[in-house]
Amino acid sequence: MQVCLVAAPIVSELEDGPIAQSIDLRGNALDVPLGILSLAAVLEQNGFLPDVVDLNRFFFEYSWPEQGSYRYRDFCSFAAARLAKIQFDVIGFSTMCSSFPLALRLAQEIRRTHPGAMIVLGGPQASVVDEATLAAFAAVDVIVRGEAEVTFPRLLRALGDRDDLSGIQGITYRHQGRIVRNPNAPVIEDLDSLPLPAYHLLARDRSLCFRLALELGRGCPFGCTFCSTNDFFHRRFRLKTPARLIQQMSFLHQTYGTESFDFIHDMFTFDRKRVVHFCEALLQSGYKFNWGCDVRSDCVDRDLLALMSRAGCNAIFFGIETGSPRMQKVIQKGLDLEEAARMISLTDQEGMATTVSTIMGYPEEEKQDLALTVAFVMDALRHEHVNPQLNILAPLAGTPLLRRYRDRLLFDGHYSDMSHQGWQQDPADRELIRAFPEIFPNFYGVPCAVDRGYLMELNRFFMGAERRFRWLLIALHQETGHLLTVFDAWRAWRQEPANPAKYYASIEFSRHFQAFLKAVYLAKMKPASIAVPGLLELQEALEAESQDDTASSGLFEPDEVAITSDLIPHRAPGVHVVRVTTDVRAIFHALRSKQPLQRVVRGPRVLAASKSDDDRLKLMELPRLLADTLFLCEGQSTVQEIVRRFSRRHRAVGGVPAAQVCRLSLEMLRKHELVGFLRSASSIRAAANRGLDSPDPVTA
Amino acid sequence: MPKKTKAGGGDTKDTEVAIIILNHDADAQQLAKLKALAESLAPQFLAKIGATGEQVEVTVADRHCRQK
Repeated sequence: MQVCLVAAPIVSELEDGPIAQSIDLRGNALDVPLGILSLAAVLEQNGFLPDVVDLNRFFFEYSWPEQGSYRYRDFCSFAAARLAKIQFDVIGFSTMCSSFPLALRLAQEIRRTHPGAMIVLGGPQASVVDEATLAAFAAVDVIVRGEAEVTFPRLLRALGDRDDLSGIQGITYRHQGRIVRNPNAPVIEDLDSLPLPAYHLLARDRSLCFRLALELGRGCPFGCTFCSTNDFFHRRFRLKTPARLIQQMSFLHQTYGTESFDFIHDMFTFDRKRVVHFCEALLQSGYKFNWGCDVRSDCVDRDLLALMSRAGCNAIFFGIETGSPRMQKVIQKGLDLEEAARMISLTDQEGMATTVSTIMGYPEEEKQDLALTVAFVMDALRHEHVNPQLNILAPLAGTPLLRRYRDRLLFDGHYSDMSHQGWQQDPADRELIRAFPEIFPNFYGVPCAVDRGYLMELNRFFMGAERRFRWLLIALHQETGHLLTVFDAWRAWRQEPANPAKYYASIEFSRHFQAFLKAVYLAKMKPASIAVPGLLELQEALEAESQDDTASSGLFEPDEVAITSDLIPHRAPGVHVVRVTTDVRAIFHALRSKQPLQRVVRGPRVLAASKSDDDRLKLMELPRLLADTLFLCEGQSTVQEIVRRFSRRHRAVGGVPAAQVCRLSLEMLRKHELVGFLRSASSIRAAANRGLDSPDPVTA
Repeated sequence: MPKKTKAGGGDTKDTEVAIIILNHDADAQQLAKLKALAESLAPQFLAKIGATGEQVEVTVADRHCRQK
């Protein structure tokens, strides 16, 4: 029996190709589809040789014009055409909420191209809307509910033997015109018994394997009202043993060169002792892996975070969900928010990337609850390593929240961006969504006290503004008492954008917001300090500088090569140098420590910004002599000429001759990646004539 | 240019490397002067700030989809 397993896509809704191929989305989309690979490994143990298809990869082929894929009308047609070339008797789609319409349209296409094939759905979305899906979509034959590693092989054997399906737990299927729902299958208690997911079935560029997803365990024992994993994993907390995990990490390291792991578990730190055991075992193993995980802030503490950090943890996801103590109770999350803030601070101090995720748009949420959530996120932003999220609630199928509000769903054009639901949902998807709210509730909204259009715009505004001028936002929040005051004034001033998502990601928004701050905030709201004007000046200067990037893109000499007199220093690509008139360092200090901004004073500063690994800019203040040297590196003059010019302007410093100061400055600029060195054409010719690789080092 | 991860002021290794490159046979007093100078020349890390490009990414890589 030929089996094909299809992984759910997460980016195909984004008809905007460039955005779909952005670094963040590509990073997510290129993650290995663990669910399908885990199932494939079990099938291999059972003697099957499954084909595995990752629709994310199809999407990237489709969305690249040079591949000629635009001849297809839409992605569904493209993917269906690709699937049509594969031979199979059974096709299994893994499903999740955001791409469920696409999965069902593909199932309909498969029914046409492979009329004899058995079409099976599984995964979190199909599991909780099984009966409604089978009733509405004749193309679907069977739905496997919950964890499928035991159920699916049994189903395949029964199909192969043409057996009755009534004895297979955990499936919903058609039988004699009726929909039959068998009892739930038990969860898999011993996760160590599962084979390593079949990573080998997805041919990957080895460079993409540097960081791989690895399942730590399953099941969160908590019962938050908005969360769908309660149902899928039956709240049964399980972890693989440390020995098993380290064995799997070691194998992936040896096989694919993996150094870094995304640990998949909704709530890793529920059992503190086991986390300690795992970290200690990992430390004793001698491996120096990095890893990230999801935790609750009430299930970590200072010592545990320090141990996790020592064991390689460099990223933690905190689902805070709301900054309102009242709403913490309503959604049954029950976090102590002061403790949460402390844990975020401690995580940041450990140098770990710290995601702070919140949700807005709960039905019971009042404006003051929303204000508390925004304030919580704004305070978290003061920590350097915090990445914020201010998401919109999606009423997920199978959640207590949906059960309560299923008769009051709204289809008002404002839907959650959860799971990267796109800017332009496919029209065919929209038809399905409108026709079957019980199957696609996550595309709907629930009534809430705060206007949903307001929430959507706040989400776009916050995300766009945080990416462009995080510290300006914090200053505005601190100075006005609340960011929402500024946001409300902004909404009253701005012209409503036709496409808010695109607008708030564009530089146009940045320019408009700066104009708003000058026209409204500075002119009418009368700020008490010079922090906002100072940060505005910085923003403007950086944006102007980035328009005029004349830095060399040539191949610089390696750092090991001595700085010789004939080399030509160039500002490194992506480095922007600006002059400002405010003590920006004092602003950052005050914002980090929540100190009054009135202490910030004016004073000329030279700042350099260079690209960091996460698409942000690393801002540094340059001492005067270093700045003077950098300004001399205009890309034309040799080191010798620069040293000469510098020496004419400066005397000895602290007993060190000016020429040596200049050379030391050049060395510092190289070490901090602000300057690189190119050889002049004459130097290359001279070296060739002499048969030398490198001229003599410069002498003072 | 090769990637490095560290930035910020007062990086002792940086200053020492710079001093060695500059003056292999400097005496202790000269070295102390150079070291003080190197420290005073080090750029001070202020903060990570936003991108300035035409379009910034407003999606989040580390979104915890509870259905994934």
